[in-house]
Amino acid sequence: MRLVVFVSRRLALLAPVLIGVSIATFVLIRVLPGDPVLLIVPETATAQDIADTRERYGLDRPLVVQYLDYVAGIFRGDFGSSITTNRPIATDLAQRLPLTLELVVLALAIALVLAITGGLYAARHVGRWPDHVTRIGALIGNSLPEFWLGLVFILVLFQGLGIAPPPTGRIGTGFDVVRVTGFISIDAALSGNPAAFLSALHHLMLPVMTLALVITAPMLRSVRASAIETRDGDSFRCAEAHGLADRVLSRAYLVRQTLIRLPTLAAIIFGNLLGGSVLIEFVFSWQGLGQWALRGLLLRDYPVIQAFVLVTATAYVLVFLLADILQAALDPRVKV
Amino acid sequence: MTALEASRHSRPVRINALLVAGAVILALVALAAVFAPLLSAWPPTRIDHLSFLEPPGPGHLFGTDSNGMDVYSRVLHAARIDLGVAVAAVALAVTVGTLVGLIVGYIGGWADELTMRGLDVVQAFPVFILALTVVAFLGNSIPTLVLAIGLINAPPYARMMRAEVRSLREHIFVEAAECAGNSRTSIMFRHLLPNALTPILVIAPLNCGWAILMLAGLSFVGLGVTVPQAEWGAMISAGAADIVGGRWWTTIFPGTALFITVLGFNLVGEGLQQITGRRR
Repeated sequence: MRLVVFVSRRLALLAPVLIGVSIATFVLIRVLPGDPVLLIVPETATAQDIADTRERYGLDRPLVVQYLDYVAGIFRGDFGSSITTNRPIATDLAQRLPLTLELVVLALAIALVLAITGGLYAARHVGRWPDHVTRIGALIGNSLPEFWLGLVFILVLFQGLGIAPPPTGRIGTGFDVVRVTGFISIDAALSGNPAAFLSALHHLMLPVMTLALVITAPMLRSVRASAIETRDGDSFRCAEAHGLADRVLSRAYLVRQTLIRLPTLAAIIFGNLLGGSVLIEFVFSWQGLGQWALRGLLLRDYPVIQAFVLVTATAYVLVFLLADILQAALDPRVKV
Repeated sequence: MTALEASRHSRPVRINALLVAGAVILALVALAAVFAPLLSAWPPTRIDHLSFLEPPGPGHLFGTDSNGMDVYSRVLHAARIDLGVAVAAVALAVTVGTLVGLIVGYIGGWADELTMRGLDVVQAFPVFILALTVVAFLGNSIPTLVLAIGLINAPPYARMMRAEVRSLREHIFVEAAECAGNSRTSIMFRHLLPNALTPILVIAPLNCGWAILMLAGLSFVGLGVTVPQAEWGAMISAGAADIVGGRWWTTIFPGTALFITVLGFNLVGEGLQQITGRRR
């Protein structure tokens, strides 16, 4: 019941933020200098051609009308069309979003496991070598540029040792995977083609490894610090003094209290991952959302940019909501 | 005086190893930036028409890139742009964030409410994606990059400052200052600001590290600094094509420089957090 109230209240708070985000995206792209119409029309266009193009794309209407039209379109699943390829944005989104999600979700899952086990282990050995290794590792991970790390992995594991596939995209050439879910590894598994499935997994190896390593660092630090804090806290020491079994102590007292702060941090990291995936997709020629947005940004394809920014911001806000709910579930002290 | 008190008073100032290590790294990088022209025989954008993609050797210490430019000289000169932009952007972020947080935290009311809701919206965007979008439209000159990276990093400072000011506002010394007839400006800048600044100054070095990574990332995808200007991210980007083929020097050297510099900022940041007791 408490959680139901909490969730509904959070959802109510979410609406103004999402409206704000959609207005900000819309206004940002129109206020910033650089007229998209001048990029659509050929260089020889006359003033009349420019005015016609503006009218054709509805850019001559008042901003408020354009905005309402845009929002109405989104509710119908219509994000408009790219001005450089003429493809519907919704089609591109449906095709590319799963490729990016595969990277981001896998990296986050692996990093969470590494950070939780590593952080708790380090906290149990404070001041000894597993702890030092963890702290140095976290410091290095926090300082590594993910795009460069990806290139180093390509250099060593593909170019040098030959155990990784070339950085040429999602799957090896010559595989024809029927799209069902859009997640290539799942589709390859469904198609009953083991070679395609293995190739899909193999191509995930380097980009996921790169992203996961970089984001493990801050979470590892956080888990270690809060585990130490919990263990030195009154409630844990009291429980320990009462002679509770180690298993109870660690499950009921240590792990739960330690992980209270992790959902919020993981949500922030998820936002970083969305940004970082643009760089990683660039490194590995991964045809996900990031590459699509980057092309849109370089060509000032404003409907593409608008959709990309709106989708990533919405995903980020929703993940934050999820983190808040998780935290409220873990911590009864969180006010409803 | 008891023995315990004596030991407390005579305790030497503890030197923080992380802080020192970070400061030494940053000092070296800063020296490299300042004396880059003296430390390298080749100007950073001069093309050696006799050697393209030449491996490291006596003629070119770190080799040459695919344009025939000296990698060693470019790595050194890049420190100027990377350090300069990052430090300037963080200075801007701290200034803007602090001012906004100080003012809305002190006066409160609808200005405060409006600002906080605005920050909610700005912070709903993943930072790097916001940076990509702003820079793609505003252009990629150095002042624009400083402005974009600076403003994008400002909201956390505004929040931190506001929180500090709101708790300090209740203290008796503020009330005393008000009763003594100090103006609002004087209370904000002479009484509140100095007392609220510590957490912000502790975060700033860490933020410099992120700012460099952000600049390098923007340049890496072609939206920040572009070749022939020497910048680490742009150099890594240009060198990425050489990797398949085993020509490692065009990416490894600038990447290592970038990594070491960010590490320096992180060490200083971590050291400061330990000293001020904000992290163990």
